[in-house]
Amino acid sequence: MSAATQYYIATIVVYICVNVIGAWGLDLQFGVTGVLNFAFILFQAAGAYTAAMLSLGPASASGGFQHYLVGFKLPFPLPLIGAMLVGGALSAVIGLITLRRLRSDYQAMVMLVISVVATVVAESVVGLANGSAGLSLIPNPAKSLTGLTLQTQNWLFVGLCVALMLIVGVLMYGLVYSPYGRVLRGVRENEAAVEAMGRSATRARLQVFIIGGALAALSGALLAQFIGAWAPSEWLYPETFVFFTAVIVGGRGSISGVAIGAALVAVGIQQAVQYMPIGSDPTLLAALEWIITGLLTLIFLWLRPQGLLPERRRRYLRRVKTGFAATKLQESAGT
Amino acid sequence: MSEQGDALLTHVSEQGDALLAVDGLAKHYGGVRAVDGVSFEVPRGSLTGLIGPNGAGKTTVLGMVAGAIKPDHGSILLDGRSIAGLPPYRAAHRGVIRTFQAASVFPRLTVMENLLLGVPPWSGEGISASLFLRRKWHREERAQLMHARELLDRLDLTQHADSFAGELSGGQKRLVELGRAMMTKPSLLLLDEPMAGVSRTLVPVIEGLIGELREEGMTVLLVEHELGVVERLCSPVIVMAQGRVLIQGEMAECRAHPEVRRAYLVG
Amino acid sequence: MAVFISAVGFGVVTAAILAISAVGFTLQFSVTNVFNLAFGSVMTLSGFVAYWLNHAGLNIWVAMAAAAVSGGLISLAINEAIYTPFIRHGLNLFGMVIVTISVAVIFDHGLQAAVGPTFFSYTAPAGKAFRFADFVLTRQELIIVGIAVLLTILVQVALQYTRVGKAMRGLAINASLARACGVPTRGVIALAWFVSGVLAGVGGVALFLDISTFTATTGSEFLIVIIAAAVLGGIGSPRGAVLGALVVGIVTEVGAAYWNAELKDVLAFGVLIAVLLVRPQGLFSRLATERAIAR
Repeated sequence: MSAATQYYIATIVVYICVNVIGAWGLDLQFGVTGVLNFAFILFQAAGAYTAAMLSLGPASASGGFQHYLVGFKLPFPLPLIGAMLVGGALSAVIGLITLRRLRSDYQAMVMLVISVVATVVAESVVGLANGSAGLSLIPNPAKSLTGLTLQTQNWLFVGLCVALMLIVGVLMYGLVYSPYGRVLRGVRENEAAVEAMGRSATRARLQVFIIGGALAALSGALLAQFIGAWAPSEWLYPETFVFFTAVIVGGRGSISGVAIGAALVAVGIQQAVQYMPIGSDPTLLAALEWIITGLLTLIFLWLRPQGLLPERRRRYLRRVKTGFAATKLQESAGT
Repeated sequence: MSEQGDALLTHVSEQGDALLAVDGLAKHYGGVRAVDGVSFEVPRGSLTGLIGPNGAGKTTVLGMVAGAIKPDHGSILLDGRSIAGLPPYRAAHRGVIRTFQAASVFPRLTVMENLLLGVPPWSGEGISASLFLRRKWHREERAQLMHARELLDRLDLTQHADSFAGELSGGQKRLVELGRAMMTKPSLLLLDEPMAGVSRTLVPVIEGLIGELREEGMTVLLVEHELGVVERLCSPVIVMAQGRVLIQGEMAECRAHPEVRRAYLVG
Repeated sequence: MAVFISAVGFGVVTAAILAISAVGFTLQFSVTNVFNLAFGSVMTLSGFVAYWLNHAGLNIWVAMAAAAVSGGLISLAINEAIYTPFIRHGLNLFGMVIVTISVAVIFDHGLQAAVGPTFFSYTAPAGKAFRFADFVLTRQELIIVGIAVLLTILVQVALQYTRVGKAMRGLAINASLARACGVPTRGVIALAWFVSGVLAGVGGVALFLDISTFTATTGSEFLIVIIAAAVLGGIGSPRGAVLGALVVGIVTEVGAAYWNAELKDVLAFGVLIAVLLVRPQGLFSRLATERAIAR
């Protein structure tokens, strides 16, 4: 296998992992709990910038060609952990501000505005993260392992992404298929009833906002370290919509469904478009990706809102029947 | 306290102590006085009815007791402790459980899951429990499942245990909602028009269920339009009209009261 | 002082342009209850209709009128063909927001695929310059301000005094009650979409004239500022939208003049967020409280 092909496959795998992790974060918020996080991409960006700044040296050191706030040159895995912490903290702040008693579409609107504000600030305040140009030369943790070939380093990073994706998958499974997950779905289905049953819907929403935000940040951190660069153009507010499409198409509330949705929407469309016989003008290709994404959302919302792999129904009757029947048998035997 | 309040107190002390004591409760929406100085008591262990024509403010009173609506004035005492202004989930912690006018189930959760969410908040529900203490909550959940299963049998809903609650009929949804309320073992159960949207065949079933709850010692405040049900089940009965309490007493007394008849004719 | 007055002057021009669109957006939201994020796309499409007519030889103001009509028709078509079926299908509020974003994305990028990523401009002379105390306005800018004032007054008068206007206000407050009172809701709603589309058309052309160059995605880029103005003034209140536009317009221009021209949008958004924290229903709303924004 040629180096180019290897690199191509590695890129695809990394992009899939990164987008699946991110989509799971949004699924926890939107698919399971019904929180419309229209600022989602902002948290991915926060993770990316944090990982970048934690792994880069101080701005002055690089000859001053890029300006950013801090640089600590920390080794793996600290940038990733730091990114997740920042993502979670930012989510906590924004969640406390927006997750009040506002109706859902208005809330979504406020979050959208916040996302745009963040973009404008990032572009205008150059000292923060190098403005519109963004950060580059972001170190890849695998590259710091000396004595290995470029390809091996690449594959190591791919391995890291896959491993993290699997870990997050297990985490998602634990959260969603549990009594906690049941409360979250209750908040989604009927907030008034869940509160009447003694659970605080606001607290549940805030919790998933934070966890989802941390996952988005992890996804951003990995992406930034892989690409080596990160700029505001990567996280304009419509990018949040791509994640929503992934969740809707895949199957909201379904962990495997969302994973498939992320692979299809975030990566699949982009690949498919490249093989279409419409030339290679990048703007045209990009426009077509967006059009397909928008159409997919509409089609699925109309025809199959539950997604490709719908949320699995939890069945309990079989489990309790045997237990109950056994007890009944014992009782009747004792009479 | 008001003259009305005095009269109520004497009445109640004949019956037993009051679990719920509401005094001077009021809620205004702009210029509209939905609830205008309401005082009454719900004796412990009773099945108290709250009736009145449309717009009397009954659901608003229920909402204030349950915490969904913040009262503008007045006090609400549960077992002597104030619960006025508590948010719904805190009122639920104190044992006040309510049902809603439109049967309030979780549509895309199964009937069994609906009941399981009726269990009062427990330790296995937290984030750390879901991730690290799986074995522990599996055991606890099993016990809850058995309890829910018994309830389902009692409600004759066992065959629907794994159906989505949203797919059931109105009456069945009401049964699920009641079952869920029963899982919580409430101190005070507030029922908001449980017969609304229920088919004729299921009305006696629900009526029987509510009666059983009273036998088992639960305190219930029942808002209902079907006066026949109220007559058969409730003692005492509170009559409201236009945001105020007209009278509290046995159903027969209330029927005979001229103001009550006028309120129903007019309202 | 001169700087301040001049900034306020420019702020008024910006506000006028914003106001047209903000009123359109908020009117449509109040009557139909849909947060229409495709509004920017309608602005852009109408702006391009004006562009093609303008470059075919038509005077820009005539082209603007044509753009207004086309905006109304496009807006109406989107509602009839896409939004209404989805609402009937049972989609709730947040589902509808996603639908509107999808429509915006499809239209914007469809247009982009058709016309390319380049920048476009109208052929419209700025005209004579008029001196007002310490600042200068061109004839074009004056006309735009005039159109804005005229339109917003017209909308306000229509809402207040015509039967249709009252019907719209009734629908805005309580749709089922209005229906029960015999208001022909389908017709009134269709008219609301048409009118908001017309305002989007005029607003789009006015915006493109003001910023000189535009692309297929400009309308949606400005949508956030428009929404900010509408939300600031109180979503659902046309009067509020005008006031919100004034606040945004003047704050951004004054901020640009005294502080940092790059950050002028940030300033407006900062004001918006501060207001939303304290008073989520906006500054000037009576209507836009519980119904519009609460759970």
